[in-house]
Amino acid sequence: MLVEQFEKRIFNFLYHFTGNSHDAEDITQETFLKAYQNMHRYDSAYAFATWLFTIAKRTAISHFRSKKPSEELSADTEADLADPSAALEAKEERVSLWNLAKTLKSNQYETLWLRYGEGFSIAEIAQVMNTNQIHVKVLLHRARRHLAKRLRPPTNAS
Amino acid sequence: MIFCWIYKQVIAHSLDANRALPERIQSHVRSCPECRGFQESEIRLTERLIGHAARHSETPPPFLHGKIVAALDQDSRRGEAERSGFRPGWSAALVSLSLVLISALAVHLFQPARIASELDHSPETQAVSTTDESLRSVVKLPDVEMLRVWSQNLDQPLETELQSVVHDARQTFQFFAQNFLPDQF
Repeated sequence: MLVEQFEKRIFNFLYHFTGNSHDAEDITQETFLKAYQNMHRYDSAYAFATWLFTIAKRTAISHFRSKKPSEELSADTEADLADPSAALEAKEERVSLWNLAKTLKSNQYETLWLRYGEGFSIAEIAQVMNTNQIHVKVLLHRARRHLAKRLRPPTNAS
Repeated sequence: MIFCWIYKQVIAHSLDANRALPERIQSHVRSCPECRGFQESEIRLTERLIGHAARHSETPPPFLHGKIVAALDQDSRRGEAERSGFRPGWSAALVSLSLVLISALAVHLFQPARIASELDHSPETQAVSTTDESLRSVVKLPDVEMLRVWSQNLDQPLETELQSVVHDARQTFQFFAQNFLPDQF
């Protein structure tokens, strides 16, 4: 079933996009509903995943247009408050690659996730982000460059 | 140095697009330590990004799947009802109208007095009564007076019959209403 196949991927994408599991859950549900209602508009010439992610992205944008995103206490912050040793682990986790990538501009982070997290091609990312391939290449290039820069200090220290 | 900057752009774009480097660039990378270092670090970064993505994934809440399926199911049912044009109010009205029409038709068709009266004045009856004397001799046909008496006698059973038809129709309607209409009806 399509829901089983894509729900985790869509939820993950939206979680990274929204930074909030409640919003991600709501938008995931809404995404599948919209996809079901507009199934007749799906063009089989394109990958289904791309179409679904495009819907997810647009749904998320319209969701936040009507509602301010709610802040969620991150797992790291919770750990800081509860247990010092857990806080140390959380700090280590915080410097992990994708957490570092979160500090990039949102469109750069989104491009990175779609490329390396979801394995989409440049053309597919352009479709999801409703932009052209050149812009995607630029975003990807900048994201990698910024990420490499931010990774450099610990690499040099070791 | 300026060429290296260009080569690095090409290396980065080739990696992003999953394309192999052109032969000219490859030969440069082999001879230039700076570009080779850049290519290696880019490949490493790509591999780390792909490798860490799985660990970075969030597990959806346990009830998300059920919620999605329930929402789809509800939407599907609503869509089917809209497509079939089913409106409970309209259906009830349609059934009632059909029953009234059937009852009216039954009354119209099985009214013996009216049939008898029509027979009295119809050319066929007159033709039978005046011209076909031989048939009268073989089969004893009822005369007009007898037909009138019969029709008066039949009025009573006909009324009973009609009441029974209306009763049956009412029961049928109640059966449909109980089994196929929503609760508010």
